[in-house]
Amino acid sequence: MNQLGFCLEELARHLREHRGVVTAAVVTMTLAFLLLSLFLMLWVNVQAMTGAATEELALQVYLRDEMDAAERERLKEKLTREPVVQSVSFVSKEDALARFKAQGDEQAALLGGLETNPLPASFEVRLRPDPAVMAELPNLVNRVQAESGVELVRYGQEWVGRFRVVLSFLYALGLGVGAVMAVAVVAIVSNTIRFLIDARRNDIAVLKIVGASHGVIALPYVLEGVFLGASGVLLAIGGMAGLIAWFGPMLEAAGGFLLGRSGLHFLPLHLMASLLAAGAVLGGIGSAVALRRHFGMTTG
Amino acid sequence: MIQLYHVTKRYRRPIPALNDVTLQIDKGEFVCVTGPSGAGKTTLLKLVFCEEQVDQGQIIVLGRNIARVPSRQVHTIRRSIGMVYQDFRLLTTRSLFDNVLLVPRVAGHAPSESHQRTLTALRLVGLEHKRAALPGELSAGEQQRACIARALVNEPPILLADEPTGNLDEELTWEIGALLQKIHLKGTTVILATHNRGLITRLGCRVVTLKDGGLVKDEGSGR
Repeated sequence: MNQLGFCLEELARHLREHRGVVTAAVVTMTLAFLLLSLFLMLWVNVQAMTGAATEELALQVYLRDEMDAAERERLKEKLTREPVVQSVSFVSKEDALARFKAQGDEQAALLGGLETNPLPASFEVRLRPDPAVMAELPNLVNRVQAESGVELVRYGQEWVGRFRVVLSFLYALGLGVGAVMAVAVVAIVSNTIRFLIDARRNDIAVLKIVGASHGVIALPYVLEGVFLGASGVLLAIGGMAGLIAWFGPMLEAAGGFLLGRSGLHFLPLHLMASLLAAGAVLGGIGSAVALRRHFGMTTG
Repeated sequence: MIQLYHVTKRYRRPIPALNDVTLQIDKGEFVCVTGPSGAGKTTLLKLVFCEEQVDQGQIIVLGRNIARVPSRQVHTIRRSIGMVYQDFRLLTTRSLFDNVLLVPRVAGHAPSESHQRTLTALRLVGLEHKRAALPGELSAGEQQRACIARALVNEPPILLADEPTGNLDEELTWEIGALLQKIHLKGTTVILATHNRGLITRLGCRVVTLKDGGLVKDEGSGR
């Protein structure tokens, strides 16, 4: 406990004595995390847009005329049990005809002359407003299509396909940006700590002389790395909030039709907490890399 | 307390820095290690302080074979040994008090106890009144006394001093010699590496003479 207190005192001294280097490192990391945060925000908003789109999305499951009531009930139950399905409602042949007629166009008038009702009964399947629905949708359609008594399944195949391509691209881009940023943060912290270790070579030598353990020597540097990473994230989130306050209304005005009813989303709390934890951990790893190099080169 | 058995240490030179040295130093002894420049005095102290690793032989310090102490555990040996250097090695950006305070703090003593120990050590070397000064504001003799205070603040059983009077004039040399004697009288085992014959004569202690890395004379053992 006393040694932890000492390490914290040393950390404060390090930060005070090397303000310039520390500030430069924090600014660089803030920019790196700002880029990552911007990407995350784009991701969050695309997710929200996907959720909103699935809310509008419905499957039309057209049934064969020969399907009896028991089979229909069994299929309805099966559809209701699907995790991505929110509700299933039955549209009888008569209801379908009534709806068609209610449209009041020429084709509806033609139907009036027929003796039998050519329109099939169907299930209208509403989906949960969840971005995961997009990925699951083709599988669900295949499963439903394979059911006996199902004539045809229809939904917005084309735009769902396009949406999935965009989502896959963003996902891959996100992983790439995340990986590059993680390496960049470790490299920045590692180089900063290496510089600070070099600048304090005499201090470290004296600490060794007076019987400081490796842990007592290393901990202030590890804490410094954690501090640099966490500060970078906090400033980046603050910067993001500032950018959104400034440009948000303009973005909403320009792309409101895309953003939907809920408007522009900021990073959710759990994502900000994860980002903060990632910044701290990456900062600590960066310090550890530099310290490993230092202790690997010296004895005692 | 300190035993060296057939210790050899080589650097990148044809002649070993220490060559097959066997030596025993008992608890409470005051030993001067002397010899011309390059005789191996500093190497001997560095080996005991785990600053260098022995090539051949064994060194036992306080019952521990230091060749078998892993690098991560070296600090446990160093906490039992105070070290004084010719070039002081004080931290120039910290006050005298903070330089000495560092030792009990890294050893894990509570802040209040560390402050008390630091004041006691500074009082012992007569520098209590200069505790706020930076090392650069002190004379060479005062810096060396500060260095001794730092070495003693945790009351280690062993004090090693490597040419502590090398940069000092005659008067200050006596002053440091007297201080080391005072510390020895309190029960600390002192090993002083010096080539100052006058100081050795005045101290009247056991004298170990090295030449070209070999032990050539051991006079006054048991004093």
